[in-house]
Amino acid sequence: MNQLLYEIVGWLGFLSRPVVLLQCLTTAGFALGYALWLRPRLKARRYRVSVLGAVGLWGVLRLNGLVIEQLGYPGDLATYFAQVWGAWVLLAVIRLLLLTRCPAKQIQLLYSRIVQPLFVLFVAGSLVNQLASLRDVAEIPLFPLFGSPLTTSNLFLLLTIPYFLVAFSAIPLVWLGHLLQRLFHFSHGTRAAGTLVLRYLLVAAGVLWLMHRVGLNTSAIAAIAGGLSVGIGFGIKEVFSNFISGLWLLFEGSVRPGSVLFIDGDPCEVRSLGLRAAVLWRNRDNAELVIPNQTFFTATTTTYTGSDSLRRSAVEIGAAYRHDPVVVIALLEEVARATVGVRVEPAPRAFLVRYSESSIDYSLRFWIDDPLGNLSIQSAVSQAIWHAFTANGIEIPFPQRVIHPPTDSTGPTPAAPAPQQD
Amino acid sequence: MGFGLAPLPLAPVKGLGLLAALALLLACGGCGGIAVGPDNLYISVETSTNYGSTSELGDNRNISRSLIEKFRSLNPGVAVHIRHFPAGELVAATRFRDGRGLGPDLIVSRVVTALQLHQQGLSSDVSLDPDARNRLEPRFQNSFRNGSKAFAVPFLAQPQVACFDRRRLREPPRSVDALLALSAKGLRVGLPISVGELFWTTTAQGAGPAVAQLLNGRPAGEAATLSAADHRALERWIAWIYDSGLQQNVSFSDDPFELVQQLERGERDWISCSSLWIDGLRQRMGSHLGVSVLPGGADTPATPVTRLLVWSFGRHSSARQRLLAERFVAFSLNEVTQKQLMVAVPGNLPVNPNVLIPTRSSALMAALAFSLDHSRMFEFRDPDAAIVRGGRLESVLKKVVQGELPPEPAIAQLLAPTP
Repeated sequence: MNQLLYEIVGWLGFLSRPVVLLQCLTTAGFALGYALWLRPRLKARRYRVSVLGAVGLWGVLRLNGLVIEQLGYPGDLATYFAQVWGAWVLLAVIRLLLLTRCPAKQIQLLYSRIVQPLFVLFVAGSLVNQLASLRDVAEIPLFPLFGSPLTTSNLFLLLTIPYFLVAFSAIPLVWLGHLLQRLFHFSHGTRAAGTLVLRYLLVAAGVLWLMHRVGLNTSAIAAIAGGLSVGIGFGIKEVFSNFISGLWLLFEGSVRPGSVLFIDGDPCEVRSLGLRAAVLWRNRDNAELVIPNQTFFTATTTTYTGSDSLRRSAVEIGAAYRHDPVVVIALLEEVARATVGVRVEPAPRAFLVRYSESSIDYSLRFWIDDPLGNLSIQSAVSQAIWHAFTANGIEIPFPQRVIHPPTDSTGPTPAAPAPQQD
Repeated sequence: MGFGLAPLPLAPVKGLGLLAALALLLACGGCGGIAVGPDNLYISVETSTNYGSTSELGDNRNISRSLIEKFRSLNPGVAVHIRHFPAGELVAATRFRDGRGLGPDLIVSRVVTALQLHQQGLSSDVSLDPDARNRLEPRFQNSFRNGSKAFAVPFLAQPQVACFDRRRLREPPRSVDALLALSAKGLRVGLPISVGELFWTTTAQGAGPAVAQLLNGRPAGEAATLSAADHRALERWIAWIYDSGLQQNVSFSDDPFELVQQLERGERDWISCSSLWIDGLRQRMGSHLGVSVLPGGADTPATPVTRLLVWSFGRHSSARQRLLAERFVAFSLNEVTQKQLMVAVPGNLPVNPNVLIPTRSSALMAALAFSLDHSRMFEFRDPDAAIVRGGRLESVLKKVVQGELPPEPAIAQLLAPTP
């Protein structure tokens, strides 16, 4: 580690050269002028004007390099700074163009997770390559790890490869998932589950390759893994259990992204199945529930999306005794068939379920495609029933209670009649 | 010992730009720039393979580190930074960094690379005072003269020798005929294909002058004109190469490092190798490694090409860095340092004539010194063209050893007019 620090500190020594200092100071001067003077003035203006200002800085920096060369000094470093700034501005312009065609959230994720980190790494690498030999810096031993020295390049790989494996793997695998779905007509849930499993496999393979590339001592790793297993058993067993549960659920297919589960009386859609927990969306109040994977593994789960995504719904209604049940049942089934969101097949069915105190109770049962849309379709069916009953003169009776006071005069004085209650 | 400072060439600068630039520089502490931390000295080293610095240097890293530490003990507060670049990449790497003002203060390279750096304006001349000249072997000095100045300063000599496995060979061959005879009896021989490293084989056939003439070049469009004797010698040499390629136990490789690895692994018994590999070979083969002079003719010693390492000075060093660079070179050439390098890294011979090479006490040193004394140095005025000519010669030799080109057409190709 000392040798790496020795090298890095040594790079500052180039500033003792007037030709380097000239390039750095002029570039820094223009950049500061832009940051402190021009940019605040352009901030209130339209975004395009800001971009023009940034392009103007690139032009000035490029011109700076040319002028320095014309003066007879080396100017490629100043040109390099201009190129870096130019690339940054170009990325910003591309981002603007993408935003006009793609969802802003996706573009934001693409830039923050992949494009910008890659840009920083590229600039850092190219800068090191100019200040020193990249190969030499990569070969600097930092500290011993499992008996062999860990070099700068290996440390760099250990820090960056896992990140980019996770960040990069999503994009091609999502494309692959969509392609396979088109070819084999998978459901969305199967596609999402397959993509996630492939991603885990890719990350695991990448980590194994990385360990091989870095040259970690496999015996030492096995010994440490053995020790860690005890720690896992006592300390982070819940985390490990949730991870294994998540993998199991994916393979089993009972809980997948896109599934609709019944949680505490509400249907919820599974948004993602992570390493530790699943994130579910509850339609009722737009809440997101984070539920450990282990919960689904050990408790009974009610799902609407197991073998199909149909849901059977029902509306209970009462009609007055004087109406013919055959007519009422026919009317109810007709109303259900005419309501948007109710499936024609299986056909809606109405049943006479009981004779109540003040009404004959019916149950109208029908099927819907969207398990999460049950409440709104129920509401629509109920409204349609009200309108149909009104149009056909069918009364929806409400309970009535008649209280007869006792006729015996020796008895206690009757109390004031209580308000009618159902 | 001292070196005269070669002034930085300034292009004519005019007007306000110059004023602004000068004002900026003056504001920042004058021509010395900003003093940031300790004094820093940047040295670029040309390695002889493309495998990075580790394979070649091995533990030599520690030796160069100890050399730097000794220099730093004499010059406290000086940080020395080494960068390694593979052969063939050093010139491009130096040009790349030089264009940014980030070039090295010192460069260690082969002579041909130093010539390329010099001709492309990537190194600056240095003045050698009489005391400095006295510290250099006279035969090495003339090659680097540029008027009253020198464009490079010799550092170490690495002659070419034969490396063999003592378990398979007790007495090394004295002549190339004996070498082929041994190979016919089962000795597995490894030979390089590059002209520089194969040049010693010309001795036995007397083809050295002819090959040198081919390497030195001729005007474009003209065929090479050799004397009748040289032509016959060239025919004999090409025929010998062709015959060697037909031998079951002789193999050629265009990568010298591959030959060294084959010797280490026991896949070869005898190879032609540069002395720079000896240290690594000794560490891995121990007492099984034998080193001898290369076989020559029946009564003439072989004339190999010695690899000479030289110092070149960078162009954009600050005044302080230039001073330190000159001190470092002077330090590397003094008797004690040269002797320490020779002893610590077997295979490196001093260029300082005042250092005694222990030829009587060490058979290795005797072989190295003998090879150096009988070696030849090429003086290329146009290194780029020399590299192209060498490449053309090598491509013909490759075809010959692979049996694709018989000797007669091979000679015709070698003597054909250049494009």
